[in-house]
Amino acid sequence: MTNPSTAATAVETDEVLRVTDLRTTYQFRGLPVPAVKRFSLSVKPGEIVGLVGESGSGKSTALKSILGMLRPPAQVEAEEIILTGRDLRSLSEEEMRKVRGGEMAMIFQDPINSFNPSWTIGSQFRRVLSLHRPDLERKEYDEEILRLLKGVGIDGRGKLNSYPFQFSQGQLQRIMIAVACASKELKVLLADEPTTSLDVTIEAQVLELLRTLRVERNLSMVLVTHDLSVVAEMCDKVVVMYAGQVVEVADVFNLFESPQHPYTQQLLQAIPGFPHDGERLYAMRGAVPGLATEIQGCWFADRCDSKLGSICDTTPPPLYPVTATGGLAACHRVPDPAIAGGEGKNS
Amino acid sequence: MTENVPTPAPLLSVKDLHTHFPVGGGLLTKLRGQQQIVHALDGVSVDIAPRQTLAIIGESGSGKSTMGRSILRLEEPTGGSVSFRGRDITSLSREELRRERQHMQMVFQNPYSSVNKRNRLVDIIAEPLRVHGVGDASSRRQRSVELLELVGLNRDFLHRYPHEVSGGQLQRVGIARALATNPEFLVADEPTASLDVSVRAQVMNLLTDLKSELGLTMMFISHDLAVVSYIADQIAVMYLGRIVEIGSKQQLESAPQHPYTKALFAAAPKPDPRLRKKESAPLGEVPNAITRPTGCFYSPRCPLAEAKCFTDYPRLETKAAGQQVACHLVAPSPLVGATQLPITPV
Ligand SMILES: Nc1ncnc2c1ncn2[C@@H]1O[C@H](COP(=O)(O)OP(=O)(O)OP(=O)(O)O)[C@@H](O)[C@H]1O
Ligand SMILES: Nc1ncnc2c1ncn2[C@@H]1O[C@H](COP(=O)(O)OP(=O)(O)OP(=O)(O)O)[C@@H](O)[C@H]1O
Ligand SMILES: [Mg+2]
Ligand SMILES: [Mg+2]
Repeated sequence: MTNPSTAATAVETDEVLRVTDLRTTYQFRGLPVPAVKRFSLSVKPGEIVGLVGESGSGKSTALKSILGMLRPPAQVEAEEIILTGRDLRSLSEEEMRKVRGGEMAMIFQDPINSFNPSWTIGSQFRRVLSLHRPDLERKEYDEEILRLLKGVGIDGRGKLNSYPFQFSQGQLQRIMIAVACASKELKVLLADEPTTSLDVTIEAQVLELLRTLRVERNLSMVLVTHDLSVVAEMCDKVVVMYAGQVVEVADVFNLFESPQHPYTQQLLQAIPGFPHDGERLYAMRGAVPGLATEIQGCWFADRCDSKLGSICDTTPPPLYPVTATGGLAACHRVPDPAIAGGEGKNS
Repeated sequence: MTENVPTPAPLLSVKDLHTHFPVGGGLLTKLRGQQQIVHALDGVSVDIAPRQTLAIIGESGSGKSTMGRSILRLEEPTGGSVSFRGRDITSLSREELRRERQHMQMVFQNPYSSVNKRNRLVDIIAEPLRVHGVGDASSRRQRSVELLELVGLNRDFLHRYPHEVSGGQLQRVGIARALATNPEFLVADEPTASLDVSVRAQVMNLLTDLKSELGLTMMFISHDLAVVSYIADQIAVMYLGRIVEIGSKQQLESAPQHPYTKALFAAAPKPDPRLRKKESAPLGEVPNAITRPTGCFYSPRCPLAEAKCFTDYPRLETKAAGQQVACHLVAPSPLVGATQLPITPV
């Protein structure tokens, strides 16, 4: 695919989904836990945007916030969350229920918890069809379910009366994808680790299915994954998060060729080779600071291999535009193109 | 037992293990005798020598988790035996089993369903210590902090509940819990699936350290071939409840024999957008553990299948020293070089 998409500049017109300045705060023992602090996203029709980042950096939280799935004491604020021209924050709970699973659906990270354990898979699936597929008659449901399951590589015959715990993790993950794709109105699919429990042959098949949906239905996707091979395989654009903030936005080719943010650079360095020679794996030193920590400068400074100097500890870097690539990166190195890019490793 | 032979006695020995589940239908179908059976694990035998890591890879739904759970008797096997340190696990009483579990732990594939949602993380991690009466409350707490740090989490997490942490954070709690009693044997079921590559590297380095320093023996279940390549000594490949190929890591990586193993290695995506696959070949007919194909279970998907592949299930046979393959089309040892099957994508 040649997709000229570059950075999310927040003012693009041709967008299905636009989120600006999302902030989500959980409460823990009466204290705020700012899980998402700076998050914006722009998705065009048919575009696949990858969302990657440190475990705990707020990826799942961001997606759940967009879909309006978090309840108090969690607090969600945003300048705008616009899906096909409508701001979702102005919708009633009833209208949001129609959006979820209708125009926008989510595939959750923990498949088993996304199903009701005491209902059979068939009955849960039929309920989704009754909500989102007015074109079908009740007696056509099972046929449609089997067809949708087949699309994700599951032979559902004899299995519709089984309960969620009777499926393997990878089977549930695929069933969830089939459920998410049931609606004909679907415009945006938010997929949280959709292929982690799949073997690579079935993963290839599911990715192929998602690509087909993109081509045939012009479906857009936000794909959260830790598997950078999946990002390389699928995405047009990538958003990188660290400690609740977007630290880099780049076209996928630029991301792999010339990552701008040191976190992205160090992340790419940690990809293990295959086959592996048994050499010790590179891992970033240290860990993410606790989210409630007061940090003046850059959140990545303590682990950064390319730290500039005291500015990194004192001043939070904004998302700077990267002129060479059209991307964005939150690093003080970026404004000076002479030192930006992968080469500056002297700290 | 053969104590003085050069190859050490296996720490874990699994013989012809079966775990079948009845599924579907209410009372009526049961009365009519129409109950269907899922052959989740269907006659698997493996040995793991001390300090070795056997990686299990294979199809989604092929029984990998069921095997891990059955070995620890978290699922009751319907046939076969498991011996650990020379003791038959399958015949132990509940109490004996409980004591044995201190030495054999599991990291569960789904962290959410394997923890009690009403417990705080500190209690979850310390649970094996409490169950086995190790230390007092304060030493257990101290150990929980250590364990959290080992997996890259700070003590802020001690008092959180499972729903108050991210997927990858909870997965690491599951690893910390499994390591709490310093077990000799660990079944790690997709322990790094929800971790970013850097945290994953940290966890993998931790496991290799435990292997070399404490002599940890592992069954390591994963879909991530790079991670398997890093940690495994032996690799077993499963398909629909059975092992279709097993051998050393070097053998499987350099000369995979079974068409499914080849398909797996060929399908592994690469972290480089320039190497994108244009399109993956169709998967063919997908298997179902209830209505299994006759003949070789892989035959409906196999690009090389011949007549007998559709009628007879191929036995797992030694094709090269230490490498066993269940495929009619792979000739035994002397001919292995001559009948190299081409690597075919899925
Ligand atoms: N209910 C909650 N109360 C307090 N903190 C929470 C709660 N839920 C999540 N968190 C914290 O918010 C942060 C973001 O969590 P989130 O699940 O969004 O991360 P993630 O990027 O999806 O991580 P992973 O890759 O591990 O799934 C984490 O540090 C987590 O501990
Ligand atoms: N409690 C159960 N009752 C009925 N069937 C079950 C049960 N548990 C597992 N199964 C079935 O047994 C088969 C093997 O499941 P298992 O979870 O062991 O697969 P797996 O290889 O771990 O798959 P994955 O890679 O997707 O995790 C699947 O077909 C599954 O549907
Ligand atoms: Mg998550
Ligand atoms: Mg499993």
